[in-house]
Amino acid sequence: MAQPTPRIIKETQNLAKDKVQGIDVTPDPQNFKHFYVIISGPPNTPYEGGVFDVELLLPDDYPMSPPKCVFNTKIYHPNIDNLGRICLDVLKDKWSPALQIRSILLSIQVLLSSPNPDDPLNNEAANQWKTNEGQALMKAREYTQKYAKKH
Amino acid sequence: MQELVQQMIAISGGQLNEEKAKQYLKYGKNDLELALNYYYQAEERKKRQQPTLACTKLMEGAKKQQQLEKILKDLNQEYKKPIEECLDQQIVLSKPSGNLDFQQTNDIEEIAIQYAQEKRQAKFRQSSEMIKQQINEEDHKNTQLQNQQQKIKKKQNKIKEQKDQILEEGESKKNDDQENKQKKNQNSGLKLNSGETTISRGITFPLFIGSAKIKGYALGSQNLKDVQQQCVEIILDGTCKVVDRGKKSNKIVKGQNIIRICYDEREIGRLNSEYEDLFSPLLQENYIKIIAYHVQSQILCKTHDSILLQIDVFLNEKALSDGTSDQFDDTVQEFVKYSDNFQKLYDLVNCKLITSTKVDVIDKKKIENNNLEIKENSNNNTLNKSAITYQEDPFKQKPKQLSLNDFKLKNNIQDQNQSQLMKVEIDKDKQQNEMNEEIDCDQFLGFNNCTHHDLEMHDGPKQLGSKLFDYQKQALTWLLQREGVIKAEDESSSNALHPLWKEYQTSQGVKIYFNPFSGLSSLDFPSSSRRCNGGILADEMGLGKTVMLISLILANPFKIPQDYYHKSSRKNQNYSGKKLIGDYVGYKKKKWARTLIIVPVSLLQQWQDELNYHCSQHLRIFQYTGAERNQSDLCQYDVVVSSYHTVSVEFKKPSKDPYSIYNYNWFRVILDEAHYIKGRTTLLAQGAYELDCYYRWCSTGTPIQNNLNDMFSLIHFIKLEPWSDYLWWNAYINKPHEEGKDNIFPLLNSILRPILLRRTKKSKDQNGKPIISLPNKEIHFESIELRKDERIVYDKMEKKSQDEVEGFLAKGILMSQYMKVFELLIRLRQICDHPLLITSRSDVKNIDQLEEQIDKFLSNQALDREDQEELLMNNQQVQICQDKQQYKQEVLRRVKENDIPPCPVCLEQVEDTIVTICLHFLCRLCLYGILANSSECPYCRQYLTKQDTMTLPRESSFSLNWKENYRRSSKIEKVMQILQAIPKNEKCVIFTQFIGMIQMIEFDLDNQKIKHLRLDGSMPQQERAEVLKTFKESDEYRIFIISLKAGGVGLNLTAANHVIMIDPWWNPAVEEQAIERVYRIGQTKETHVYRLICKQTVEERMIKLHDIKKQLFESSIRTEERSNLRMEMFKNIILGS
Repeated sequence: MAQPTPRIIKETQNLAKDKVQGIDVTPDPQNFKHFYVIISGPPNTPYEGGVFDVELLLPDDYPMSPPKCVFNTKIYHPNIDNLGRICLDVLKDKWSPALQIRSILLSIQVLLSSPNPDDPLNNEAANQWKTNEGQALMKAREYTQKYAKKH
Repeated sequence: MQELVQQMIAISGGQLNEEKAKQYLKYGKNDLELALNYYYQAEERKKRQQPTLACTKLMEGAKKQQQLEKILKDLNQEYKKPIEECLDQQIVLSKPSGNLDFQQTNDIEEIAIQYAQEKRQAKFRQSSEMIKQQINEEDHKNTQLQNQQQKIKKKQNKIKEQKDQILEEGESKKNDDQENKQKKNQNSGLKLNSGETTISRGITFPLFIGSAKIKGYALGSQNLKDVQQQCVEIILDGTCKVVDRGKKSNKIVKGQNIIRICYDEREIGRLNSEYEDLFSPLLQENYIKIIAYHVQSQILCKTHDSILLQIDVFLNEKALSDGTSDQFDDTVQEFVKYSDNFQKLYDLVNCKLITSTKVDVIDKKKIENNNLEIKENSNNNTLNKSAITYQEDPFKQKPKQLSLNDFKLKNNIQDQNQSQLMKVEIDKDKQQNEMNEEIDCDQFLGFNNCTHHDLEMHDGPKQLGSKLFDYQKQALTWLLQREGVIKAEDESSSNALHPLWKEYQTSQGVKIYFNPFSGLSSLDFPSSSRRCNGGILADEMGLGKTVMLISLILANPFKIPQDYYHKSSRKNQNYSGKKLIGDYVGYKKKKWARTLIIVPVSLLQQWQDELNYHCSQHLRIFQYTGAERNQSDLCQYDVVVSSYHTVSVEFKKPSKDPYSIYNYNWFRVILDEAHYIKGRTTLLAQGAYELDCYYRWCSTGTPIQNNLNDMFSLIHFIKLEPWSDYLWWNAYINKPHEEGKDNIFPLLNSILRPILLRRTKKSKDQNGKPIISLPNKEIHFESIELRKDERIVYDKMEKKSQDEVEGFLAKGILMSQYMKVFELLIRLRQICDHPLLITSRSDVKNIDQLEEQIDKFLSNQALDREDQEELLMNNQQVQICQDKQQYKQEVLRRVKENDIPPCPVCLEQVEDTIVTICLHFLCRLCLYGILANSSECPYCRQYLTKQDTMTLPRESSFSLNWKENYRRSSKIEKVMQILQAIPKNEKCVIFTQFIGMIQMIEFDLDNQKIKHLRLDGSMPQQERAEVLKTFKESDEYRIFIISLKAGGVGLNLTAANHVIMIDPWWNPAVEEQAIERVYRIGQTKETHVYRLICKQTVEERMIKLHDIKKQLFESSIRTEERSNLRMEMFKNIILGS
């Protein structure tokens, strides 16, 4: 296996040093490009109290390409589909090498507190959000209770 | 009765005297045959004992004797029992059993044989089974004797066979035996004669040095009946090859020397491997000759049954050298290989090591006394006292000190005491002064043996204007002794043994001298009296070495030495002592000049001043420096003062000038601060070595700064044979030391003691009074809290440094980044002094350049941008930097203050800095990598092409005009406070390592209109002298700012009694040196030292890590470890862990 680049080492060190509230990152000891992330649902959102497993994988040409992120925990969110794929601009065309794993995870955290139904990935959820937000929030809370409870 | 006696005498052929015959008759009553039989056995026994006599001596210890006696008693009892049981048949034998001749048979084995023989007699009348049974019973009863009895059983077997023979052949057999013995003796005689027997210097070679018992083992099952007690041959077979069977190639792996035991051209066994290792090289080189006798083995041998041999060892003439050669030539090289073998050999054959037992007794008593003294007076410098006891018998001690291995064992008690004393001393030291590391070093190297308390006081020459202190008078005596003007008591005993040699005495009284270091053996007495004119004056700084040397110059004025012959040194490097005097071509036609003193540049003036000051009569002094040095004849001056630098220049380009220092024979050369030549390969050192001089002196307060090789250079200069030859030094001192053997110190000590004089300020005279009394010294640790703005700069820099070091660590390249790390540390320390020191590293041109570049960039940018705006119709809002001036200012500020964040792409410190139009800093490579497939600033997503970026000049050291921005740092604030507090009539010296700091303090003082002086490395000599003089004499100038490196050594600044150490230095000894400029002899006022340390910075950590640094100087650490340790230290200081 290739050696981790200094940047990845540095980022990993920084993640361990300065923790972001609500986000817990564990590097895979076997693969330095692989991270297990646990994001706590932000307060005052339907995801409050939930614990979401997210997997993060750095591409080979990182930081020139964005990292790949996937939700392992089922979540009801207009920008996250059934497979856990995330629709987030910084993970796609808005990626910049100046961004870091930390900034990506923060963006995901923000995405949870402010869903964007105008740029949907999960159409059903997006429609629900647009038509009946109250019901959508309830469903999201349900999902959280059901799938994202701490064990 | 009488008749019988006569008859016996007749039968024995006159071998029996009347008394003996009677004795035997008594034993044997009427049984004449039996009596005779017994007699012959006794004879046989005696003969057998003869070769083992040397061995039995081994066991003469009292304990062994007791043991033996006990065994004998047991044996007797044991023996009586069976006899009493069959009393009716055994009347004859009961008596001899009680009369065993114990005194002759101390050896256990002999007793065993004797005992077995008695048994044999018993068996004559009794069945052997019975006895065996009885012995078996005894076995159970007496477990202590089990081993002994097993041996006895073996003997019984042997004897049984012998008995059979005896029964068959009767008396005639015994006669044969006797004949055999005689033959054997003749044989051995023949063998000796067959070797080349030569007679040299009244001694017959090969020279018998002793006998020993060694073990071999049998090869194969065989009957060794005929070998018993016979002379066997010891044959070295060097041709035997061991074949490595593991590899199929059957390649011969190595040749091994095997020593075979042969008898009658038949190999019966081999020597045990330990003896093989010991003897084979010596036999191979034909250094020794061995004659061996079989002593004991089983008759019927199996493989690996042990065979006991008695060997007589003879030295061939080849093994002996003439004993006086100190040359490290090929011969020595050859012997060095075998030094261990020889050492073991001498030990094995039981040569007597001659040491004076009296010394041991005396020393023990003294140590005891010392202990008492410690209890009585714990304040005394106890260590020095024990040092005195060492000194009093220096020469008697030497042989003992040198048998290094023995030394430890024999003087265990002494060592323990010594170490206890040391502990006491060290503990005390810690309490007294944490900074003083010199002492540690001293103890380690045993310099405290070199205090020479026992010297008489010399009144000092009349011409000396000033009065000498008592210890200085002692030093003068020593100096004159070394110059041979005063006969030293020590040296009168010229027949002292050379410190490297051991004296052995063989059993025949021949004395052999053996050098365990070189492996040389000699019959000649190696004398220790080797003269070297000069020595090392290593008194601690501030004790007035200068005055001592000046008084020496006056006390032993110039006269042409009679015994000086010039050596053509370059042609004949290996000259040694007196021996080669005849070889000298006579001295070259060089003129004699008087005294040459070589000093560091900064001390030139001081020496001249001191010479003038201390001499009542006018001395003609010439300063041999500068371009016009070779203008006048040096003969006409009493003293020529020169600098190391000048000498090395002169050495490098040998001037044909007749007045060059190399064209004179110097009566005396003195190297002041001689540690300048510690690197033996440097030009400075080479230049000094090459001077032709009669008396050679080194003067230094720190003879060892980093490692033992520092010492070598000095020894090489004073030409102390044989150590001035690096081969010797390396072989005996340096290499063992680097390999971590600590047993070189007794040797080093004995080398240095005669040639080195060292006292410290703590040294006491014979009466226990300190040799000098100075006013108190007080050290104030001033902790400084960094101001907020300083803190910010510092923290930023520290973070950056830590990241960098961690980066090196992660990459595993920390060790190779030594200079880089070192530089980081210096930056951090400079911030502690004043943040401007790093932001103002001034290169004004660069800033101007940068400004120009920015202007150009901006104007180009404007054009480009307009073009592009026309071309590219994407609606991106391009933010042209509206205010170009603002942009420029910002870039300049960032660069000057080094306020550039790490590159966002590689997260490292920005390398090869590039700045974008949107004012972002990145590494050039990182940014270009991004721009290859995108055209956005990674920071702000602005439209960006390569044209929108500007690469900054590589060297990013820029400066502000610090004077405009000057503001006192916390440290300078503190300095000013201290200066304020100093009474108006007292003076202060400020030391710092940074020139920038000197400038700032000067600037600040100028602003306050306070008069001050400065001294730094850039000042020419003339100016330095003036400054020093002004500070000494003028009351106006109270403040003297000195660069630590330029003025830390040698200066005399006793006019001041306050010292401010602005920044800590790695090496506490350097700081100590600087403080000594003020706190030295001549200081009359109470001295205050202020050490300024910024809280929570690298400085604080440096102070903490001074301990590690101390370790570095204790040379217990080997070189390869040292750099690791130093790196570790830097890392820890930066990372703060």
